[in-house]
Amino acid sequence: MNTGRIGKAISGLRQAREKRRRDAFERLTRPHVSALHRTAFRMTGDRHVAEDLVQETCLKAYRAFDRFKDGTNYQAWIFRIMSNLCTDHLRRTARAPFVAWNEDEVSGPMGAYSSEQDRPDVHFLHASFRNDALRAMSRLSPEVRLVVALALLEGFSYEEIADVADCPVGTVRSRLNRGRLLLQKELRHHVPSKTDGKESKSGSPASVKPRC
Amino acid sequence: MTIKSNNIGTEMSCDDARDALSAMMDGEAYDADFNVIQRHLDVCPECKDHFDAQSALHVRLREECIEPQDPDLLWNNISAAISAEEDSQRRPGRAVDWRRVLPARTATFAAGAVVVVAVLILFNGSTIFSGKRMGDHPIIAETVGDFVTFRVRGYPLDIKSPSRLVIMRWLAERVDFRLPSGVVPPAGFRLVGGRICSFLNRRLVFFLFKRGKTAASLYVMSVAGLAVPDDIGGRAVSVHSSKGFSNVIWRSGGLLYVIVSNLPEAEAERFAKTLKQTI
Repeated sequence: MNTGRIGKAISGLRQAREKRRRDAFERLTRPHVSALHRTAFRMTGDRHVAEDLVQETCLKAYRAFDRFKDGTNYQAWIFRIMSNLCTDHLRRTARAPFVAWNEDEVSGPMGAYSSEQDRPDVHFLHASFRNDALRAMSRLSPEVRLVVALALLEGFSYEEIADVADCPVGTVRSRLNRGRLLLQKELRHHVPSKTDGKESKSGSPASVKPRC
Repeated sequence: MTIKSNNIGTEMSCDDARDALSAMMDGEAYDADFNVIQRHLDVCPECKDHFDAQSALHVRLREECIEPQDPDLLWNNISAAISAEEDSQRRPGRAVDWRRVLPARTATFAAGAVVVVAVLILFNGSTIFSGKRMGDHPIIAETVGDFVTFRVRGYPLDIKSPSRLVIMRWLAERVDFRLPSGVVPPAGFRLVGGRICSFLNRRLVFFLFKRGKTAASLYVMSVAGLAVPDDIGGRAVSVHSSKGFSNVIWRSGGLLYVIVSNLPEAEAERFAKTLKQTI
């Protein structure tokens, strides 16, 4: 009888501890899931794969949550887990084609247009830019792609990116510059520069070689 | 940053200027960079154009590449995956405990359905299955029979994981046809796991989806050597009912897809159509 009561009390304490752990994990993780998904999507070019990777990231983070030190950068920690999973995935599927085309996006919303953005021609241009941007991203090496996704699209500081990518800030800076040049070259039909098509002195998009 | 001379006589080369410009756009340029960059841009129209184009690209990427995403839906799926993992850790060795997820009434009914299937088999299936009723067609009867047996006997799943990728990879390696890469659970459902089963003289892949206490299975098989009438397994989904379970079938790309579920027929059809779009 007494043993049963003690057992119940221990079980209650364990449940309370599990709940606290789960609540703490949710409080820290939930604000980042959208950014994690967007970054995984830009890394892989596949929305569903990105969803799986974010799920795996969160499970991995949850399993290792006790090892996370309070006061350290949680965002960098969880993004580092995600970027490692993305790199593994990209290595495994190196030969698979990049899936960027999204027919739903390109065909646009049906029915009346509630805004200028919903007009099929406007929608198509936006969707076309997004798809081309994703394709251009896929041509960057995973290391450069990660830096571009975090800096240009998520607004991470170089120091935060250096934490995630586990490299010096100077490397982040040079990878980003390289990524920008390549993106400009790939997307020049969307954002032309006055010097497009002309011979350049050095480093201009036309002369950039895909060395990343 | 190293300041060095270049071919246009400024203190910074074009390569260095562009590197500094990239950092400047992110608000990360060193203080010393600003004046040097400005002086370089004043005398280098090429870098000025480059800067304008990069700025325009930067703005467009930031404005247009923010895809809408439902964070609540994402979080719900993550939360469900964590719960599933915690659940499986509490009960090691048990893949899916149907007694926990099914109401007693459904379990009793399912047990009855197994008896019905067993009686059908005793009375020589081929004769009975030759009847005109759709529910008696072997494709329907055998998938429903397998589903019922799986649930009542509590057969374990061969692979159970919160990750769709892990499940897909595991199953794809064990069949001789190419599994579709999609198979994304419709909203509210999650893919629990899968198994390999054998009937209709072939190996089939079985996926199990769950939403609370509702379960839906998807069987995927090759149509090679299988007589599939168009009114059962055509390109459009066809909805049937057998032994109290909804059964939705369609054919695509040399594969036959069969859904068996305790969902009402209309809901099972919606489930199938949504799933079909992802395959």
